[in-house]
Amino acid sequence: METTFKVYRFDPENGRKPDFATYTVDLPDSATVMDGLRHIRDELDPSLAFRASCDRGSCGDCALRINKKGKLGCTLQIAKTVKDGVVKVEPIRNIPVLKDLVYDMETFLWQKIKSVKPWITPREPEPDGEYIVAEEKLLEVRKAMSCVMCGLCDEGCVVIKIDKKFVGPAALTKAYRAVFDPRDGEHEHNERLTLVSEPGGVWDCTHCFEANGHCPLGLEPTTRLFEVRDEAIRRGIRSGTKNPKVQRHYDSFVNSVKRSGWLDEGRLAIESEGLTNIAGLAKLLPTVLRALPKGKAPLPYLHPKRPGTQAIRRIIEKAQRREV
Amino acid sequence: MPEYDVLIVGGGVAGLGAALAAKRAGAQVALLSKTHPLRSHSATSPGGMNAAFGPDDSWQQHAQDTLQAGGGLCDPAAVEWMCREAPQDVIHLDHIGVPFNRDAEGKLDRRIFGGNGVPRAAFASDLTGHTVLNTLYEQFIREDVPAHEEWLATSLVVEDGVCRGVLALELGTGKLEGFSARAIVLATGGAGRLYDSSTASQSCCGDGMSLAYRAGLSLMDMEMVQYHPFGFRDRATFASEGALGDGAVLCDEAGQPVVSMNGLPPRDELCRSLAASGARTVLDFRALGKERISARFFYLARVANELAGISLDKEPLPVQPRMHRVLGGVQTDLRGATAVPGVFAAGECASPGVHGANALAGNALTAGVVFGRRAGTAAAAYVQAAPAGGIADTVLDYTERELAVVFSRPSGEDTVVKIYRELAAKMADKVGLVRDETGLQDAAECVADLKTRYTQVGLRHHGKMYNHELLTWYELGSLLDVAQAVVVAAQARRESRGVHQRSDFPTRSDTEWQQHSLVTSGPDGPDLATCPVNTSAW
Repeated sequence: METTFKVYRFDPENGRKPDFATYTVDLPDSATVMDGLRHIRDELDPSLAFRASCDRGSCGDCALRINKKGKLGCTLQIAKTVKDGVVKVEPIRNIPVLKDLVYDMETFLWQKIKSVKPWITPREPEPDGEYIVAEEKLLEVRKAMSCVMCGLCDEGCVVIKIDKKFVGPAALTKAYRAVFDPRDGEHEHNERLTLVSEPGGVWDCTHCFEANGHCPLGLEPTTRLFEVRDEAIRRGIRSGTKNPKVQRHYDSFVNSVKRSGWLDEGRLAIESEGLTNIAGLAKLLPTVLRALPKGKAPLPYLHPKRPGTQAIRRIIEKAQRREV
Repeated sequence: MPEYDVLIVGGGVAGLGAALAAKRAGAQVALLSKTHPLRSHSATSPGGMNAAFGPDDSWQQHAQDTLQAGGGLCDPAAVEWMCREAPQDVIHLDHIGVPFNRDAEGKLDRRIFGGNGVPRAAFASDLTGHTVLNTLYEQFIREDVPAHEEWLATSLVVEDGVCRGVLALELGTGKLEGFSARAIVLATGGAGRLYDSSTASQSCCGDGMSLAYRAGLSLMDMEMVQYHPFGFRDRATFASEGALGDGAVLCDEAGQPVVSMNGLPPRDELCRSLAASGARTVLDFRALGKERISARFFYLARVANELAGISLDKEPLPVQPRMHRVLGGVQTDLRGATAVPGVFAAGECASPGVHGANALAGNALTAGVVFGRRAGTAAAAYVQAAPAGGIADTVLDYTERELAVVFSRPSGEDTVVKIYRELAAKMADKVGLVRDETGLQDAAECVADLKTRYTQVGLRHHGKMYNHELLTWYELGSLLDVAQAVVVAAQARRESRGVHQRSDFPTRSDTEWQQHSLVTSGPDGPDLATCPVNTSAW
């Protein structure tokens, strides 16, 4: 099948601006995009740089943007992506490019993985033999561990796009692996959960679910991030040490609904800032002053109870007992 | 110049295990690897790792099966240590988080591979190597071991007969640098890319074997080249051999079973009979059902769909034998030590004598984990009384001038890629499942010719950053060394044993050939010697 490859080229050594080069390749129908790139490098242009290792979707080295979608080049057949005879190949987004299709994973992923401390400390007492663990308890851990660290979920993340400090769905999926591993020591668990609750952690996710859509293995990184966050809450960790506003927001939200059956937005705004946080409260003033004449500034603590508040309160109390 | 006590070269299962063991033993350790550790070939090892547990098994039975498979060429002492220590290593891996599958009681589940008397392979779906690698990597970053990633070790520096360090090329910048170390652990992986239809990752180019060979060390049992029966037809990947034990059936294309677990011949015999019959075979997983396929073949189910368009629960997967690995490697003792003080080796690049003439299925990861740890521990002990490392500036200067010569050669019709392709095709054609003198001689002449062309070939691309042609040039140099060793040893072994089958010498000759082949680099090319199978510690 004859295909036109349009490949992103950037070489700091030649001083030229990045651009796209066009190559024509003729490969069997079963050929992958990686076969195409290798053909170009071996036969047409030895200066082309890209990473590739296992060639079978096991190692994650060849994550690329192919026809505008984040994919593993080695498992994507050309026939499945080609559009009007063209395959366009670029580096993944949100990451510094080093040369052509080679990019710098260090700050994008490796440091973030390390920052969530995703290692297991054997739970005490450490048995002589293996830990006795039900298969169901390890199934999801194993699935999360099948992650190949390709970074494609982070590539699609709308937060990382504007905030490089967000630790991102890949590292938090790695955290999931440790948080839910029943063999891990309790102490490490809580340290890690506090860590991922700090600024840049689970609370910075905007719930857009892009990571689920971008994972080439279908491992649902967004959902796993939520589960890590929910587990933190279950263990009484409602924020990190450096973002107490998260906890105040959380508590105010719950208390408001518990009291009146619905959200008291005025109260939420004030209590999230903190009743004694004069500077924080002052920051709210311009918004309040703009909203007041339009009747959009809800008066805190004065909104009426909804019908069925008692039942709602009972539901919340039941959930809170479960968290403890 | 970076200076370490112990420098581990290679970041796969054996390398990470060695780094952790050396660190635990108190050494100042660092890692240098051609790829990021998580991109290592270990990530592709699917099926499981043998270790004898429980009332139905014992390390002695495991050893017996290993020796049986090895066709009289395993060193029983090496086999004994591996089989004795494997259970403790598997338990340790469980404790640090490898998500091994569990049985109904919550204990480690086992699967059976051909040649094993009982199910003894602990496994994590068909992601065993991947999850062991990732788990070791977690501990590796926890220990904060310095890692030099995307550096290719280009030569071992040995002075006055003692290890001083390595020279290495940074792939991202093209810079050559010396790394001073009192001890080096080579854990660079195998040489599967020597054959053009193999199961190897792009990185498996025999780097460590060649580094050792050029430093005067011996390569042992290099003629032993193993094929895997369940390779994909047109991709460098494969289904775990554990498939048969788990209930999949190997059939011909008409759906007639070719073999069952009850009568499963050893891997080498199966490959030869499949290749000889020319039958197109398929691996049928349908009897397992969707749930069991997902639990035990999580990776294969995905990749069969993506690369072959096959849903394992609905249609059988076409398979064929593919070259799997060179079983031989750098000759080491049971601690991974080589004949050069301070140079250790472990994993697929090494040969402590545990695989002999045919590796028992399920022993590869086990050997990598056990001997990786042993080599790391031994290297840490060695450096306590070892002379300091250190690389003279003149050594680096000389190597830089050599590299400049390579860059200055004119590029012509011949290319590094062409030479590589001819080599890999010739090895598959003439040094494959069944060999004979005529074919081996042809291969020997071809390799010699390619070596000459290699010394003349120019590079088409002269950039410094991520110059893949330059990387391939180095890798091809390694593969040519390994090829020469494989061919010379295969020519010398005039018998058939294990994976080494000669149509012109079809029988096994214990009187003459129950001994290891050793290939060293001599002034006029490779020198062949033999050494007896070491039974001293048995």
